[in-house]
Amino acid sequence: MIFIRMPYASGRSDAVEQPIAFDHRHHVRDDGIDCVYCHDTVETEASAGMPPTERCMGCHSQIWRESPKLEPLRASWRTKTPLRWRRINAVPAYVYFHHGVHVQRGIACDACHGDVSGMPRVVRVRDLSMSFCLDCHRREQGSRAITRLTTCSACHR
Amino acid sequence: MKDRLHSLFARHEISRRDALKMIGGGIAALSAGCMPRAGEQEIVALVDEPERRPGPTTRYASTLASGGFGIGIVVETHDGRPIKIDGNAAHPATLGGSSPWLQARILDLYDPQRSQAARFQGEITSWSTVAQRLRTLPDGPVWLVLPPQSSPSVAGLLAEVASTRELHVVTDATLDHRAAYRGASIAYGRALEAQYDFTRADTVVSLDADWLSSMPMSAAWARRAALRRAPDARMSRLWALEPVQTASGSIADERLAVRASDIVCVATILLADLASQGLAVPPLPRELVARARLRIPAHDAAIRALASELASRRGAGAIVTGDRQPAIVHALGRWIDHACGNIGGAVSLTAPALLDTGGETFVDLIAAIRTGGVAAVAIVDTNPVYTAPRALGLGDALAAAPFTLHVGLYADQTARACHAHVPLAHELETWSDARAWDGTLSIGQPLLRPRFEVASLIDVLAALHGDRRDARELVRARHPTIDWTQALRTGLVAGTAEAPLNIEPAWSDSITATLANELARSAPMPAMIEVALQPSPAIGDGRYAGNAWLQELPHPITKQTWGNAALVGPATAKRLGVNDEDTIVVEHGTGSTTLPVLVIPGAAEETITIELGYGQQSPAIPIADRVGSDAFVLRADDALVLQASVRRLPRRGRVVRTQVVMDEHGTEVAPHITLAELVANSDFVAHLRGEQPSLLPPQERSGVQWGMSIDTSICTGCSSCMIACQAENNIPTVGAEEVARGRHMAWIRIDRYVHDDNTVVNEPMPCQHCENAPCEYVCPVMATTHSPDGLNEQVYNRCVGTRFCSNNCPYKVRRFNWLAYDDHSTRALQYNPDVTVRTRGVMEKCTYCVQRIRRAEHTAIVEHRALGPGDVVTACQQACPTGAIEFGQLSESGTVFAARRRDARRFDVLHDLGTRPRTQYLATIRNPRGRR
Repeated sequence: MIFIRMPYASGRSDAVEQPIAFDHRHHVRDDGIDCVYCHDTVETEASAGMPPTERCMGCHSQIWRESPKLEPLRASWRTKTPLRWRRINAVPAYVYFHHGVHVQRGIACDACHGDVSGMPRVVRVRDLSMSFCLDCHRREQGSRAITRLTTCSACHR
Repeated sequence: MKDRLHSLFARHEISRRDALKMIGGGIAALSAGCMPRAGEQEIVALVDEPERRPGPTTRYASTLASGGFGIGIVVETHDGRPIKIDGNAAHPATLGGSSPWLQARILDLYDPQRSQAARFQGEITSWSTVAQRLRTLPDGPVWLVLPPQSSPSVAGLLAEVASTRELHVVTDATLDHRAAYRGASIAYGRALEAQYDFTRADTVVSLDADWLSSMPMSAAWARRAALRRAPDARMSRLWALEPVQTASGSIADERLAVRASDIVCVATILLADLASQGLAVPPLPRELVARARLRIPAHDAAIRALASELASRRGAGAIVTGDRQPAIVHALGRWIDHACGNIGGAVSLTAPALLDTGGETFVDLIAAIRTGGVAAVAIVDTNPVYTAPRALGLGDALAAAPFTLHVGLYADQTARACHAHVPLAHELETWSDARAWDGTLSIGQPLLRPRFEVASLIDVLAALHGDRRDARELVRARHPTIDWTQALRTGLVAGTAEAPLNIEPAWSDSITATLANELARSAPMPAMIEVALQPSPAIGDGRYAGNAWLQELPHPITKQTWGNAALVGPATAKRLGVNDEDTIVVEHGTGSTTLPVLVIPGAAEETITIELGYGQQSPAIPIADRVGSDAFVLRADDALVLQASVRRLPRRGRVVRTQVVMDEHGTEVAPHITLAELVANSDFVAHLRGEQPSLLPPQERSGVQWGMSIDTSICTGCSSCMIACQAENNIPTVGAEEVARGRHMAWIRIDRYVHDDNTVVNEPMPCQHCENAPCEYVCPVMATTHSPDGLNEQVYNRCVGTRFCSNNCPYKVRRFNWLAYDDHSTRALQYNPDVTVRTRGVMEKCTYCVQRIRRAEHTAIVEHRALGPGDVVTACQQACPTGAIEFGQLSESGTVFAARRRDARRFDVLHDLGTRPRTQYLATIRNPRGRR
């Protein structure tokens, strides 16, 4: 029980090698690109969405065309082969997390993901355990009683 | 890993003993499927911008075929993967309702048993090789064996092929709807289809027809007929005349047990009795009527009552004749309709939708092969080596043809008898078109690319014609004038239904002779017993025998799964000296089959009903292989009613049933009353609802509160809801052995109660979501709890499998995963991603489709609005053709659900236990004629 609460168990703060060394700090902070430009279903769907190669190429067919760091991107576009990113923030399959309702209810991205705009390489900053979720869900209701936000079928079904 | 552990020890200075404990616990925790580590999973991004955003559930309209008729469907897809089929509410054949086979077709799409490669003489080849061979066939007649067709594209291609070479088509249908067309030819001189408007029918008479459940229009008919089943002055009266009860018969108000061969007598007598009511009927020789009366003296009074009822409800009656009946009975049915003025009222006549492919049969095909006059035989989407009369020797004859091709979903018996076999495209893998019973045209669009090389009937015909266009181009070119996009979006082409024809029947002496012949032919033979064969309501004539959902679906009447039985009436059983599960041998000509007996109260006597489709010798389809007994062997010709001899074997058989006792045992679990009694006693179930004293604290009922209402009066027991639930909620099949142990996994079952007066109550039984749930307080680990919106929740991850909850559930709706029933074959592609796939050792049960509730809530939040009525439709409710199941919020008003929560017929099952179930029922009302 202690072990699974340790950062080691969830890989929290672990640096993970991605197919492209994508720098959120640069894209968000330097270029001012909004999260939703790439993660475009985050406001409405369960999944936040990952941008297709074509969206990256919207800019990168014009700028940084020669950069060797972007060769995997161009290769993906050329050969029509999907990029295979490593998932950093994950919940187990029996958790039915819905991004859209959280965003619509005013939960900012960084509540769970941390300040991604400051991350040259994305790491998990929260353990995303059930108690992490319940901390918020209980605070919202103001008690430990079983409520609509803390009943099992709110997340598990 | 090792290095990391070492560094971990060093950092935290943990003793070896503690570390081992933690490693053990940690590994156990990790292997139990806890938190995925960062970077452990992949996100595979798209390359091209998608046409539409991935994520939301998308629905597409398409078309399936049933008996050749188009059935409009809506297919739910998740990220491009179809996972569920429902009826298309706009399509006249379903009006949004379903049938078990319609729901189950999605399983066939991913069936790992499907044939996956073309073969030529056992060697793997490709469709393109076979197609090339079809394009270069030597001159000479080509024979096609097809199921009935209504497709304009197929019609056009057949004509085009026939213009270049000699073409013969054998239409292969076990229950042949062309009997109705031949009947119309007798009466009107041309083939006609009867269209029914059951909202206008005060009296519906079924002559050996399961019109509410197993005909191509049943879903739509049931929906319309149910509108006239509210217990008021407009309530219709349903008459069922049938040998053994069907789903339609189970809700009939007047049921006469009549042998299939005696239905012709019923029609004859009815027509004669209408004459004595002063109606204009054709001249029937007295002697014929007398002969008919002699055959069924017991039903004389009832038929006279029916005649007077039809005569008094002029224009508001309808006769539905089953396809098992000979053409002359269909013709008599039309004359009854004409005599009663029903044509133009509840019944109208139109041109038929099915193609006229000529009357050629397997006898002609075999004769042609024997004389060497055949260049090739192509058998598409049927399995005639199994279904054709076995005495014909079709399998051997095929071996003598120069080239035989089978195109089918499975490498079945016919595939083994042919030179070449090509996998058939599933309807969701190819383009097609079809016409509904009323003529409405719809386009079938594919939902996903085939996983392996397949061919459709259109592909085969195009190859025969040397046309290299694909199915999409061919179908589209066939309909140049329609709005293609609109047709695909709505699932039909509006305004293509056939217009009613104004046409009068004409009687002649030759019809009298035909009737006399039929009366003579169908007369009982001494020392023989009648055997009535019929397709199974689940697996049809064996077409769906590979479908595990349908094999495990309890039979609506017998509750048998995984097999068939000889259904006999009680007196006949006594005469034969047999009882439930005794084994008998049925022999007719050279064929004989051995099967267990089930005694059916209320079945006609001196007749045995056996369902077809079972007992296949098909090692390539393990689900169908040697399940049940093959009754096709009995047939010497196309007839489904035959005279056989029966002998008892000195051993017991086995019938795997999910319900054996159909008696209430003095409880009031399934209350029922007649319409006449209801008028005097409208609150007859008042004592079965309301508060009961309880030690438990009262449940909070504020805010959104969910509930269900089930009208037992209009439930036919068709079981669409069971398959819909199975598809929606990833419910496994467990096989005959496990069902026999009582481990059937269905979350909703249909209990059947037969009362002393033979009234049948079909009572669908999902989880009752009790407010004072007996399951909840016995769970030692809080794995079953109550949600604030009134759901009884099951938490799989908490469940340790004590099964106390199931033990304490008075409704017995909880299901335990005794073994790992989940399936990791390609079948898993059908799993609903919104529902957890359960594993061994956990309890599960109906959740009121909580995934649909949460999805509706999420959508409402995203769209900044409140949940409204109709936002949540459970899978069973959606599939129910009659609308027996309604779901909603207890607080809603102005809806059908709200009205039912105030209906005087409402009651709680096992009300005396004080469980306060959220699933409430409406008592059964039947409308029999007044008795003395």
